[in-house]
Amino acid sequence: MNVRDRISRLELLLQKIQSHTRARRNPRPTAATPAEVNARTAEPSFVTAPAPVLELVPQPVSEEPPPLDGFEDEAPTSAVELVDVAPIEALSEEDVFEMDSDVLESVPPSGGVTSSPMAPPVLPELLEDPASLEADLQAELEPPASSKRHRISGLVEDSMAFPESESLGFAEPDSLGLDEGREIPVKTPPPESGPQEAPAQQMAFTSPAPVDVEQLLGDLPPVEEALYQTGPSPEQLGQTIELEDAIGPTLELDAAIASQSPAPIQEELEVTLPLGEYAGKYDESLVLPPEARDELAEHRRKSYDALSTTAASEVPLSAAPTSDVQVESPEAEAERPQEVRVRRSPISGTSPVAVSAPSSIVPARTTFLELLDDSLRLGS
Amino acid sequence: MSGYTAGSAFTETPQTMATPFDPSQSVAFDLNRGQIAVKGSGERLLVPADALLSLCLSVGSEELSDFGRRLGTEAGRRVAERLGEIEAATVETIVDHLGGDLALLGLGSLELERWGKALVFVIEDSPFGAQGDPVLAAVLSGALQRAFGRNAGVIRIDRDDQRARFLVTSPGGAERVRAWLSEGTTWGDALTRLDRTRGDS
Repeated sequence: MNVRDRISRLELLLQKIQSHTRARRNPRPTAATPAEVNARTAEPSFVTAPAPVLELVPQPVSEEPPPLDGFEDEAPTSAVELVDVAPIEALSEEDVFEMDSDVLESVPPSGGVTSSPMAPPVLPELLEDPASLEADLQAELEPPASSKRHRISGLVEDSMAFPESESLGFAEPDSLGLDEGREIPVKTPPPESGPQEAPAQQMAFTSPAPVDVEQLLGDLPPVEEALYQTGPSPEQLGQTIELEDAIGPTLELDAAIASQSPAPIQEELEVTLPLGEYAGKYDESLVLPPEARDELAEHRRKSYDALSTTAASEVPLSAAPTSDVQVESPEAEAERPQEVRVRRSPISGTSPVAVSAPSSIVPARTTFLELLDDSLRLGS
Repeated sequence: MSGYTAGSAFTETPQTMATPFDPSQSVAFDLNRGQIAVKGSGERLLVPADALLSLCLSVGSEELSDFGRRLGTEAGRRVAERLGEIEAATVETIVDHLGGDLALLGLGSLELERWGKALVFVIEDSPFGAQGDPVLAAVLSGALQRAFGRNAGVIRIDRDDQRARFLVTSPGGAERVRAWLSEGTTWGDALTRLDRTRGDS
């Protein structure tokens, strides 16, 4: 088979794929009548014809290696969907090779789908240049060496500085000994084929550097401090711990509460000195010093003179209670009468009757008759 | 009235207090005969105060004054008999004995105040209340008349719920003070004005 035949087959295959894709993407009526259904099934469709060339179609992402931690899986490509459409079991090699180029001409490539991501339209210039088309075919037939996993590792390799990658546990690909030439199965092996070799991108992760446990323990805060900083654990949240009542006399609780209130702080620390034996007392046995005798005698004489002068002047002892507040001159106030109150002495020894009498008695120096006569002379 | 006669010591030293008032055995209840007697006096009656006050208010002022003066005369006589030489009796002695007798009558507690030269009796907790103050004034006037032989004018100058003040002065002075009080002068000012009149007389 020459190159042109292969190209024609590939184009035929491409057309089939496009037709399948178009059929899947075009929405079908949900409620079709039975007649329409029969008509569709009875009508021979070239699009739905089996395509034995599917064996040559690479399945780049048919079965990806298990995802690694820390990396996100990408969305499945549309090529996976296309593979599932064609019933591979129904294809035979004769069906594939019996198709000629006329069939290709009957199916225009611009069947409405011109921007399929997996099946770009075949340009005429490519057909004219067999070398470039061969190169493209080889590129398509190559195993998916540039899987997403490799790109991710490569992106990490390019974007991250080397020292940082070391600190994060990643190592340089060269230093890790990545074998880019490792043989990777072209097709996805069936599940019953047994364990497969792990893809190379897993080797991008290396075991972290040995941890210095002692240094980490030294960096940790003390246990109590760590408890205060971290707080309760998630397991402890929502759990109420019922504390038992205090056991013991209530006096301890009262004493504890009283001890919590701090005593008032005295600004001035004054201390009351204890009174001595003779505090507040006068010992008569003490003898005045000779120089104090004259001063004491002079003081007593002056005090006596001042008292005599005060007694001679008529000063009211108390004012009569008045309802109106009046301000009087000192002379008028001096003329106000003095009050002397006399109460009866307490009466005791009363057996027949109960007697209550005032107890305070103001001693009088004059007889009652004299006072009575003075009062009777008023206004007479 | 043994024990209440005027003694030599009382006369010589009037400053010292005489024998205090002793009401022991002063009131005798003869339940067999149904009689009550006060020592040194005649028979008494225990009558409701409000009933007696109603009776007093139903009579004229002259009769009311005579009734009160009789009560006071009886009390003054007993005081004079107990004290003997009553002229030498101190103020506290008079207040003690006269007040004791008024207490036996149930007329209240007696005190004495002196405002300048004016004597003021104070009777507290009188059962007659404010309406019976004229009776009390007559009682005090009669007691002073009987005990000291002085004709004194006694008028009420102040009154509250429990206490009543009675000025003891001359009859003329009592009339002046009564006139001043009727004009609205306070009793303190009235006493002051009365005290100023002593120089005029």
